[in-house]
Amino acid sequence: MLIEFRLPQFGMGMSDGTITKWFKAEGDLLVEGETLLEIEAAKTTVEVPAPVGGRLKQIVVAADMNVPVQTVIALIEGEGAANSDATPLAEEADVPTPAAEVAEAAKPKATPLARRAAEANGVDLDSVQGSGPGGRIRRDDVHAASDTCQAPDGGKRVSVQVEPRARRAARELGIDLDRVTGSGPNGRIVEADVRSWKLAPTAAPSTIPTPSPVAAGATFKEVPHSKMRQIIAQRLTESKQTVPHFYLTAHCEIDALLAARARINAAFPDEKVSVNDFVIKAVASALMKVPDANVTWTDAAMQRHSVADIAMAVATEGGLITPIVRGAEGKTLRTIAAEAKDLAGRARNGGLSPREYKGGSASVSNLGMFGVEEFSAIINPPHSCIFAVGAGLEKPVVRDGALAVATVMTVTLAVDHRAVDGAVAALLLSRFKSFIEEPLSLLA
Amino acid sequence: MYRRMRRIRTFEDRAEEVHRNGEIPGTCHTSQGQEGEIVGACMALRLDDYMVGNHRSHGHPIGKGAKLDGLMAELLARKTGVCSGKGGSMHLADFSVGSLGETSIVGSGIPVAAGAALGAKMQGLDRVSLCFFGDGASNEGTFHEGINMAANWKLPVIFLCENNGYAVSTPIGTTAAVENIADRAAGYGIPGVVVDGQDVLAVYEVVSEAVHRARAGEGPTLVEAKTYRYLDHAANMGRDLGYRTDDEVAQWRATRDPIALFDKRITTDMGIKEADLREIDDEVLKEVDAALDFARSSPFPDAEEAFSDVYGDRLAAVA
Amino acid sequence: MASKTFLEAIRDAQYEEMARDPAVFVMGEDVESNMFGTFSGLMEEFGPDRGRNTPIAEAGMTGVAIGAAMVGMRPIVDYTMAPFLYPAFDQIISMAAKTRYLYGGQSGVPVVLRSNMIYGNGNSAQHSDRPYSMFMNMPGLNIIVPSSAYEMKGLLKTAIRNNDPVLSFEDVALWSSKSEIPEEEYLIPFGVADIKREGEDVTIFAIGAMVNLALAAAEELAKEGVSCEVVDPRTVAPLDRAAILKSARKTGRFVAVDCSFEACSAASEVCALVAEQAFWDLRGPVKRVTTMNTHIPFSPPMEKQLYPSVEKVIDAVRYTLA
Repeated sequence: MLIEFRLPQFGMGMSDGTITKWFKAEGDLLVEGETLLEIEAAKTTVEVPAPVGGRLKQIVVAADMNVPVQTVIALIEGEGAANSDATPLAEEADVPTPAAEVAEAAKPKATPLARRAAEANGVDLDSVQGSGPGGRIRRDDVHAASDTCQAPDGGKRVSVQVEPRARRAARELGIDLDRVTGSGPNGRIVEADVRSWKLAPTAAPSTIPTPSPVAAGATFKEVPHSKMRQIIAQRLTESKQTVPHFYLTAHCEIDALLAARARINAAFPDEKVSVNDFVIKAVASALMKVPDANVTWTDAAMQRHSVADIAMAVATEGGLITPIVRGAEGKTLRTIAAEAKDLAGRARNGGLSPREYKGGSASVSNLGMFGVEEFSAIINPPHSCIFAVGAGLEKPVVRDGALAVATVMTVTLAVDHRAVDGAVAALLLSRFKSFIEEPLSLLA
Repeated sequence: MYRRMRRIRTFEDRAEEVHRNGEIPGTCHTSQGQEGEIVGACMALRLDDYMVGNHRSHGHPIGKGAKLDGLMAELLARKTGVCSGKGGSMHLADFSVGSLGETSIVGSGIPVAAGAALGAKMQGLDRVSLCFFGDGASNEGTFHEGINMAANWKLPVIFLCENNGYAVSTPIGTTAAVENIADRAAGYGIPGVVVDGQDVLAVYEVVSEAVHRARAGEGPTLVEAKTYRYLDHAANMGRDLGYRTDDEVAQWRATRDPIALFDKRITTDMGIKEADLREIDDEVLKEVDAALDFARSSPFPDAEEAFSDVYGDRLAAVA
Repeated sequence: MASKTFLEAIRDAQYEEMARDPAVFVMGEDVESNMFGTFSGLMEEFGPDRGRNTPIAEAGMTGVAIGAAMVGMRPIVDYTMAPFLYPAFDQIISMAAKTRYLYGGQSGVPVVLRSNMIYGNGNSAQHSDRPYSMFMNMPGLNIIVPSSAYEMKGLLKTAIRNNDPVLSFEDVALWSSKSEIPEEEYLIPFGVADIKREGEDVTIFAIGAMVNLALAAAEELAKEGVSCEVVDPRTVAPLDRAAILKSARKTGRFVAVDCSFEACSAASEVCALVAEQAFWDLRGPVKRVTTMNTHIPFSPPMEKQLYPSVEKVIDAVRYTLA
């Protein structure tokens, strides 16, 4: 009988995979359990065995193609009963054909608990040795299979191995192992992978289907997307599409701030404070003053934060990342300056731990150093606010009815209007401007 | 002699009390009733002669003249005990009076005592070695091997069997095919002597004879002292194992008590005054009380002490 | 320098120590007839008092040695074969190992208990034992397992001078092996391992005669570009834990070769040590190469397969690399 062989899911995070190699050709005989193809998914390369014995009738998805999990990738003319791997999410076991009853090795059944455990852990039931009567697969067998590096049939990995040295290196350097591709046997992450990752965070190759080859003489080159680029694209699109952005602009006179900064830096020449550090502190202080703006929208409820964790946008080689200065409302300018410097440095080296860039109350994006006067930023979920800060430029201003010159920094606040109403946003911006224009108020 | 016997009796009575009220951890094997054979044998030895004992170990060092303070402190698990709190009741060993240890694996001391005699002989010292072991131990393989080797090499050792009739709860008659343990001596080609353990002077004479033989290079002797222990195998065992009757115990206490017998003997036949003996009794009581006070006021060992004295010169060996 | 065999090294060590210290003497079964050549010339030189035949009474002779040791002598007891230690087990454990401790340091037991390990020779279950691992479990004992004539002499001399009980396990497979022995006196301290070969990729810990297997395996593997470090503990009690861990941390891979039976072997102990304390430096699993857990049969086709071999060591190394 013809069996649809679907791309299995390895690991809960896997949503798609790229077939890197077919080990058999159409028409080849298959032995159940022998390696049929190799796939590459987010973190690892996995060898996939044939789910049944029989003949490989048709390869539906060719090598180098990336398809979602559960896509039919091949058709197999099976000898025995239909197996659970062909449709791992199926609840019912297929009724075995009469031929199956005399098949060389009728597929052992799996208990419902085992099936659920296999699904939850991304374990291929085919690779599991059943310890129940008649080889029946029990839940414990599934758990054992998902923990072991080597399946009883000796070849398939279902979880990523990390050698202890590599784990330690990852801990030391604050590298998320989820981001590292393993070069060791069977996709194992070895120490070298971790240590070299920090130098080239965009090392992971593309898994998006490559379009047709570029014609000779073309005026463009195709660069496959890095994982980071894909994530940025996905998140910001999601933000723009789902969050109702509402914008307010303020022009802040920063002469007093610049003077204060000069004096502080003279007093602490080794711990220089930048304008952006003032901005971070001002944002944090403003949020504490306007708690209605220090919130995160969820479908179920509004999360009201009691601290102000301020994310700062940092441009790295690979793209944008936003490390967080936690509890900025309670930190001195110098502390903020030191942390910001450290975080930015490590962000560029790829040495941030997830804790350091996930979460937060609001973001600050500062393009002042590029001379940009004014701009609007895109909110980073789960924040409700983002402050887009421009350069401080000398401008004519009106004071007491007369023209004067002041250094003006334009700040555009974008808020999530589901969470933060216009009036609240206005109040927030107003408070922010007060803190910026009277920097001593940041001390009080 | 009287003083030493009295010391053992008082010490043991006190130890049993103190064990009962929980101040002595573990087990406590007392030797009330055996004072005669212990003291009679010990006093036939010089201070520099060697002695190896067994788990019923309080009496032997006392018999050989050890001070009570260190012994009592050891029982109470103090740092100031003779074994620094490492050994306890079954291993009350005082090397300063010639003891080479009181070892609690039954029969294990027999070849060791022979070995000490060998060591003395090889070094040209005219010391002898005496091993105390029980009727039960005489059935162990080490009894056979140790005595055989001592006999072969004519070692200056006295094997003294403290036959109190029972091995824990098993009467010796049911486990030994001979009437007297001393009868086995013939099997090794050495003399075997039976003596009344409750008659301290008789024991003294017999052991002195054996010591003399040994020192003269004539080899080992097996001495069997018929004796009796009043209390259970181990103090406060709780259950009555039912292997002997209360009458039997009472009978021995009433008619065969070694201290009472000696008391009568020396006051009647040797003109010692009753009053003097009573004075000794008082002094001994004070001595034991003082030892108990000393023990109670001594500190316990620090936990780190558990790791000392496993090896003698570990550092030197590694260096 | 002179080239000497393992047995000659034993004989020389005993001779030199007996000459140095009148308290040293030898006792055991058939000592006087010098069955293995380890007593050549001793009786002539030192007299019959210092080289004594004992009856076949292992417990008795051990106890006698212990007693003599406690009063100032330094006996060397020769049991001939290692399984003959078993009848003396209680004396070794209850008296030799524990005496110093039990009596609060009032005395020590400076005895040396020597026996040989012969296996792979059709001597069947009772005569093919390799029991040093059993004794490792008891505090108070020192255990030497020399891997060459050079080690044998240096360790035995240290053993005789040591003030605590020492068990010496002498692998018969090494008896005729030779080393260059210096003219000058030398002692090998206990608890100091020796790196027999330096390497980068995998640590092979090997005991006694297994050291040669490890070195042969290392040679083979070098051809494949695998660099092995061979660590010889020389004494399994005390064990040079620091050296073992240092090597394991350096290479990240650990194989332990031990001719004991697998269960609770010395190999198990060091693997546990490495897994506990060097885990984060590891690059792969630890692996033991030991004698398989069954009694030693008489017939060669059954017996030969059971012991460690160069092939098994190579396989084990590959296992840690996989």
